[in-house]
Parts: sequence; structure tokens; C-alpha cells
Amino acid sequence: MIQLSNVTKSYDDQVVLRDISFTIEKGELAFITGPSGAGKTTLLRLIYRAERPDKGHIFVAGWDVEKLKQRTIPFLRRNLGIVFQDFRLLPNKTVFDNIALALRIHGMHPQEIREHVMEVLDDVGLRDKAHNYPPHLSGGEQQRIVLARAIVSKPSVLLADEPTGNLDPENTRTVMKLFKEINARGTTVLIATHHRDLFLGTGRRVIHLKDTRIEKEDTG
Amino acid sequence: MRTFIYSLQTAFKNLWQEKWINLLTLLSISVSLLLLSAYLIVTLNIDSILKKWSRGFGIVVYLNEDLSDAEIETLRGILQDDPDILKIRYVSKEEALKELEETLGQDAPILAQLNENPLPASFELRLKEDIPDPSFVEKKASEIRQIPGVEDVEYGEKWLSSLNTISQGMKVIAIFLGSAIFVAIIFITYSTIKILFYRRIDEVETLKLLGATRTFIRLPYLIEGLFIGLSGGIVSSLILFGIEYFFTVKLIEFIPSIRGIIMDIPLRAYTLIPATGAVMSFIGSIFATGRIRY
Ligand SMILES: Nc1ncnc2c1ncn2[C@@H]1O[C@H](COP(=O)(O)OP(=O)(O)O)[C@@H](O)[C@H]1O
Ligand SMILES: [Mg+2]
Repeated sequence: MIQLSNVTKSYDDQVVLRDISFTIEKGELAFITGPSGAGKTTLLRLIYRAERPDKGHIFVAGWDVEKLKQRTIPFLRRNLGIVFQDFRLLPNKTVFDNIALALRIHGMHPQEIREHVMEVLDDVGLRDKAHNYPPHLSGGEQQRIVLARAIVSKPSVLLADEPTGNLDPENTRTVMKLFKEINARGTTVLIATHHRDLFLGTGRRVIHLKDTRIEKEDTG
Repeated sequence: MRTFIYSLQTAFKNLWQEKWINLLTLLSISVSLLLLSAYLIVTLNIDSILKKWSRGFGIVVYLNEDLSDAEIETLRGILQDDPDILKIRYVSKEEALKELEETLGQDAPILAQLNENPLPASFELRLKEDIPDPSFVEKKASEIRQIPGVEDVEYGEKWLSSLNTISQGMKVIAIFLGSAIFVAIIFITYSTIKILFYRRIDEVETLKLLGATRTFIRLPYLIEGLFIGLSGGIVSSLILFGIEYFFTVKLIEFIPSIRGIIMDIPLRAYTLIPATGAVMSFIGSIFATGRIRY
């Protein structure tokens, strides 16, 4: 579902990722880990075509990301659910509208949008916050809204950048349970995190990044 | 279609949120359109007056003294075949004399002292164009002068050439002013929409990352621009209607003599002004939202 081959990425003269290759199969749930600044966020940005590699090839959900035309990029991204490290919630829209936006982009019927959004709000336990504005919510609540927005369109691939960065242990457990459920429904999930606790004991594949390279691969 | 409805809702929400800057833009557009319309109406009025004056304009072809009826008919035939000539009127020697008598009125008896009619017969020609190009008329006149049997050709050169200059000059100014105002409206909307668009650049970035197409991102701003231009034009039309009403209904009661000077504003203008505002503003918004790159 996601395939990187010999990908190198640098900013100015600083190499961030060097000769990265790995494949995530359809239906897999995998982790990317490494210390802060190791290039996890950059790696995810390459996958959703917010950055372009200097070298190498990237394939996502059957698309050759490098060859995508400007016009086709939105259609790649509609197949992806993304949990952004910096949330990217719109402060002047309600929680409901923030999540609904992901479906409006698809041109879905308003009634259907209502049902889907309410359902996903139930999943993340924030149904009663539907008409609040994100700035009035706690970091943990915002984090869960971002997740809700990422999964509401039932994407084939879910990319999550530090999805538990702002959560207490209980909410972390809830969110991890959600990831497993979504994965069980067939969505390929890739989680970038520097929290070892998140993958330890899961038995899932973990890719370790260090000093621009893949240090090792093991199972959590 | 759903995207369009959603964009429409978003556009009107944004319009309301930024109502002051939008209102200011709208008013600037109405003032610009009003200026242009006022100038065009004045121009049209003057032009119609000029046309009325020039209606009397014609070329007079004086004929040789000794032409037979057949020769006169041949001459008429030649003139009739000329595609530039609209109307031909034959004025015989006798008719010319009678016209002169009418013009002289009380002084007519002077003519009785003449024992022979000194006036030549003539053709009075009306050209197709109302205010023809003077050089064109000159060429036509000298052409006719070449025809055998023609004694002389006369027309109001100075008069025609000044009418023509005024008429042409006003048209040139109208074109310049029109283009300047079109550009101004495009620019006014461009800068407003640009400001509003960049104020929401974070939102635009997020939309791009969520997989929104260019159309989805731009449409609300295009609708916003279109609406501002359209409303500006409607405001303009309403003011213009008010002014026209004041002149044609109220003022005429007091100063009836202005009736001849004021022309009705064609109904089409009232729809044309908003349409112009809408189109120009729409173009401005297209430039303002630019090329969205992912
Ligand atoms: N847009 C950018 N311009 C320049 N340097 C960047 C940019 N984005 C990230 N970097 C650098 O790339 C490195 C990796 O960053 P990042 O991918 O955010 O790491 P992580 O997510 O693992 O913490 C860092 O050293 C960071 O400073
Ligand atoms: Mg990061």
C-alpha cells in the first residue's frame, strides 16, 4: 500500500532522510519511531506529497506519487486520512464543521455527512462537543477531533503523526483501540511516534529511524 | 452541485464576516460604474443631438443650365446607383425660386424685378451615414463633380468637420474612460479578495492537505467577488434611476424647457451596469486567488 525505494530528502544542505526503503502492505498497522528530529514528520509528508524526495520513488495506494499532476494530488489525498502533528483544525469552525469538511470535499450529501460525523464523534467520545470551537477545547480533545476528521471519510490509508502527543494514559488507550479497530476494518495504518509505550507489546512492525537512516526494523 | 451550494454558503458567511471591507469595495465599484455610466449617458445625449442637427446635412449638386429632361434622368440614375447615397431630391429651377421666395418672405417682391430665373436646378443628396467622415464626403463630392452635366457640388465642410471631431473625440474618450474603469474595478476586487484570501491562507493550506480540489478552494472567493461586483452595479443602477427620476419627473415640472435635452436612459443600461460590475469583479477574483499549487 505504501512503498518507498531509496528515498533521499534534504533541506538546503542538511540531509534529513537518506536512502530509505520499506514497504507497508495493505491492511498492515506499523509504526515509525526515532528521536525527535529524526525525520518522522518529513517521511509522512513525503507520502502525502506535501514534500518531494530528492531521489527515489514513492508509491501510495497504487499512485506513483512522483508522477502525480497538480490536478490529481487532491485525489491521492482523499484516499488518505492524516492526523497532523500540528492538528490543523480551523479555529473559526465548530468541531462538527471541522470534521464535516473532510466529507464536503468529497461532495457527500449533507444528511449523510451528519450521520457520519455524529458516528465518528461517538467513536472518539466527543459527541457533546460537536458545537464547540476547537480553541475552547483541551489539547487532548483537539487531538481526538483531528483523528475523527482523519477517519470519517473511511480512507484506505491512515497516516498519524504523534497522535498521542497530548493525551493522558486513558485517552491514549482509547485512541490506540480506535487505531486497531480501523485497521481491523481494512485500513492500512502508519503511526509516527517517539513514544515507545505506544508500540511495546503490540506485536506490530516498528521501523526505527536514526541519523537519517533506518536503523533497524523489529516488532513491538 | 453540492460543492456549489456549500461554496455559496461559505461565500455568504465570509461576506458577512468581513462586511465592512466588502461594503467599502462594493461602494467603490458603484462609484466607478456610476462615473462611467454618467459619462456614457452624456455622450449618448450629445451624440443624438449632433445627429439631429446633421439630419439637415446634405450634398447639393447644381446642374448645368441647358440639360434636357433625359439628361437629368440619366444623372438621377447614376446617383441612385451609388450605394452611399440614401435619398435624392430633385429641385427644379422653379422650385428653387419658390423656396427662395419662402425664405425671403416679406422681401420676396425683390425677385419680381428679375426677368429671368437665375437659380440652377439641383439634386439634394442625403448620405447613409448620419455624421459621415469629412474626408469621405470630400471624396464623394469630387467624384460627383466629375459627372458630365454637373456644374458644382456644395456641402457644409466646416460644420461637418467640427461635428465629426466632437463626435469622434467623445467616442475616443469613452473608450479610454471605459477601459480605465474596467481595469479599476478588476483591481479593486482583486485587492479585496486577495486580502481576504490571504487572511485565510492557513485554512487554504488545510483544505489542500485534506484533498480539496482547486475549484472547491476557489469557488467561495469567486462567488464573493462576483456578488460584490453585481451588488455594486445594482447600487449604481439604483442611484442612476434616482437621478433620472429626479430629472425627468421632478425637475421637468419646474423647468419644462429641459425636456428636449434629456434623453431617457435605455432600460437595457440598468441590467448592463450590474452585469459589467459582476464580470469585472469576477475577473479580479480569478486573478486574486491565483494558481493554487499543492
Ligand atoms: N521545512 C523545513 N525546512 C528546513 N528544515 C526542516 C524542515 N522540516 C524539517 N526540517 C528539519 O528536518 C529534520 C527532521 O524533522 P522532522 O521530520 O520534523 O523530525 P521528527 O518529526 O522526527 O521530529 C529536523 O532537523 C528539522 O529541523
Ligand atoms: Mg515530528
